[in-house]
Amino acid sequence: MMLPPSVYLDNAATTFPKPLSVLAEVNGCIRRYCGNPGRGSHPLAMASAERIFECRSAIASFLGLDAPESVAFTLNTTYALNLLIKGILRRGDHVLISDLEHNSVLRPIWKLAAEGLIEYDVFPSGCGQPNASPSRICAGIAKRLRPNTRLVLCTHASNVCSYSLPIAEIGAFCHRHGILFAVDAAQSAGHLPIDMKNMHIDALAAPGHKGLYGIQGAGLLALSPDLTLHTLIEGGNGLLSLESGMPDTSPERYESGTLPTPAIAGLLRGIETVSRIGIDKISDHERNLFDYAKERLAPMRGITVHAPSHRGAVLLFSAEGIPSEKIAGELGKRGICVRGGYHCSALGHATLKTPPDGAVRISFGIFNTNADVDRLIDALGDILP
Amino acid sequence: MKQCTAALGSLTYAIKAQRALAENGIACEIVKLDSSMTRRGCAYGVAFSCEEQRAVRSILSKEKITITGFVNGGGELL
Repeated sequence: MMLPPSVYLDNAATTFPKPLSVLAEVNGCIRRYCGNPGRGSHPLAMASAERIFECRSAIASFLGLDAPESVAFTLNTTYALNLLIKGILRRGDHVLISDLEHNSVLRPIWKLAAEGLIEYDVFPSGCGQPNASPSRICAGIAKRLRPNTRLVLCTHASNVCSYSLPIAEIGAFCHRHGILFAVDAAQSAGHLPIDMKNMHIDALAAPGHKGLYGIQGAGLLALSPDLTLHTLIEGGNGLLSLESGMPDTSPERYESGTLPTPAIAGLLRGIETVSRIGIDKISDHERNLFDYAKERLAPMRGITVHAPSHRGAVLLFSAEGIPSEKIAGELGKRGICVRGGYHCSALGHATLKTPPDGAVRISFGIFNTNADVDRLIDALGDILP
Repeated sequence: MKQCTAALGSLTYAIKAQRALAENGIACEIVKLDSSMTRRGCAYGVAFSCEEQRAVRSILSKEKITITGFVNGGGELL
């Protein structure tokens, strides 16, 4: 099915299009070498395993880790976060999360709390607070610490606006207090610099198909070398098959079942693309697009840009009197791809105090230009009264 | 030339070991261990000339790659 030409501004959901090198690798993998990695020893199984190892190595290096075995592949970020949360927390633990969390953090935490297994509190991220600073945010965390606080888990960059938390400072604070620190990098991997060692991050979950420009089907959980989790699922992983218990060797311990080799192979090329362009350059590009979109939206009557001072890949706006889903739907009819509603982040929308029906999110990627913003603005001009 | 095999924790470690050994000029082959070498089911390792056994042990130790078993020529894991 051929779709009409469109303007894609929903890169926070998944980036589109993908770099040609990613498409070529995925295609080549499926056509030439896609055996089942870690199962046999024949050439195709080994070729798949080699490519997966290369991707683990690239990710480890990208995140400031030494060892490829620190990186476990998952279906997506949500799976990685569930593996982390349910694999690390024990009955009686207390957890702190930020007021910008996606449901992929809030819901598993909420469920464990509803079952009476853990307790949690929400700390202010500083988003929307004019006097926010890393030390104030850490003070907010300190105020909520309990003797049984085991983990601080927060997003690096919000999925509803371009605010990012000072994770290096939060990580240092956590380690000074003997608390584990984990990061949801769903919106920051490929957009902002990340160095797990220097930022004192014990665990980090990220998608392959967003800022790292792989295809859908592969996410990752990166763990510091001294951290071992309980498994979320068990099954075959190609190791010690005659034993009933799961082997404790990472990362295979967390990877029961066949891995999505084509997605992982593509992710390797995506990371290479991002590394070649450079995070700083990508970040600058996205901020420039943000500034341009904000400038073009400013004269439009009834439009509110939420968290306008936080520049980056995500711009959230609402139009007075028009539901966000209506705007997104009308833009879609005109070939403009954006997302309305709540973006799976009730916490984030509450923090930003968006209207009851949510807001419209536009999100940029490396392939967007000012011309895409112009087409968005033209289409909005048709839709708004 | 007599072949030795070092059993490793996973295929990931076997590939890591192969690359580390190659960087140090030691050729090896990744092997899936057969039932004569492991009673615990599927496992991977690297096979290399026994003459390089000492260097292999040293390099893998330096790389923090644990050898879970060792076969000197044929037979079961030592």
